[in-house]
Amino acid sequence: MPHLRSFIIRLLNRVRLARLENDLTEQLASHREMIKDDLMSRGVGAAEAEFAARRAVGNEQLIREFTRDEMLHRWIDGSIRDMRYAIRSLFRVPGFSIAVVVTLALGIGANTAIFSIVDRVLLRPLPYPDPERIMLLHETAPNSPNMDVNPSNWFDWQRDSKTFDSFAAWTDRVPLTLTGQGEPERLQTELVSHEFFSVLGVRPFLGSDFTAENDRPGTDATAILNYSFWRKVFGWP
Amino acid sequence: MPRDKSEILQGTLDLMILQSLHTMGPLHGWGIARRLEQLSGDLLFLNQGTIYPALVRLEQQGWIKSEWGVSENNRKAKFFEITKAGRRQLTKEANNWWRIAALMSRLLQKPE
Repeated sequence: MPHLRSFIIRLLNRVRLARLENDLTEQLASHREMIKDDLMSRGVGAAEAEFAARRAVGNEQLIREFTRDEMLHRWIDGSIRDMRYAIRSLFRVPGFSIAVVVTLALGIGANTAIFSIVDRVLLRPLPYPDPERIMLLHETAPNSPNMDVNPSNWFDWQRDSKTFDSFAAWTDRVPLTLTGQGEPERLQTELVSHEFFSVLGVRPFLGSDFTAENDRPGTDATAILNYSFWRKVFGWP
Repeated sequence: MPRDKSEILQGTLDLMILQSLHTMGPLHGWGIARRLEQLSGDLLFLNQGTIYPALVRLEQQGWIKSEWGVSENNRKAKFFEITKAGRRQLTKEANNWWRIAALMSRLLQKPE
């Protein structure tokens, strides 16, 4: 792990660089002093000893430079400098920069939007058990590939099909108005046959699913509310 | 301290410092430099300051540790000591060195 350790220490060193460099300066000074002491104790003059000590230790500026290379990730410094330079260059030609930024923003935005749609619609499976077994069926005719299913055909399919476990039918959205609960409210609804939820493989959170009884002509209309509507209108916390 | 020179020396210098600390016990910078000069005689020309980047490198890798103390003649000095991991590294690098040295001496037969 010495490399990881050294990598992290170098990152930390960035914030304590002044202290580290101070430490190095002190070490170099003490190093020179010790050489000087040693020479002077052997009878060398102070000025000469000072000079010899400096020569023995070497160029302090260079030593500091090389030590800093060890202490820090120099490529990070380099990247920061490059980034500053890039930003300055952008501000020098603001019109062009704005055009580039706007182009990029629109491009990225459009991409994100399209991806979210594709992801939801095409890539993610439907949130039901066995989503690959759920099919959407239409009737077709020349010039008209996606026709609504004729109800009598639908009854025939239900009776005769060997391919599908079961069928459910629904109509397009039928707008209804809710009254008697304070402010009237326009509701989005679907009219569905009683098999609808069992075909999808889901069960109501509360209450009972539709049964064949509900589909018999002349019975009262029944509704299953979706969760958020139920919470909103009937005040579930 | 030209750059290419210090880079050629880099691995070697680290190894020399580790070995010195291993045999001599804790040393300050000057102590290490003196030990290296003493051992190498005239073979190695070393600006004594060259060891400081190496000391930083070795300490960051956890192979040596350091502490401020007082030198034999009462100067404040930073003392360096080899760690357990440093000894392991020293063994590894020394073996490596001998392998390469053996290979090179077989390859480059000394001219008579």
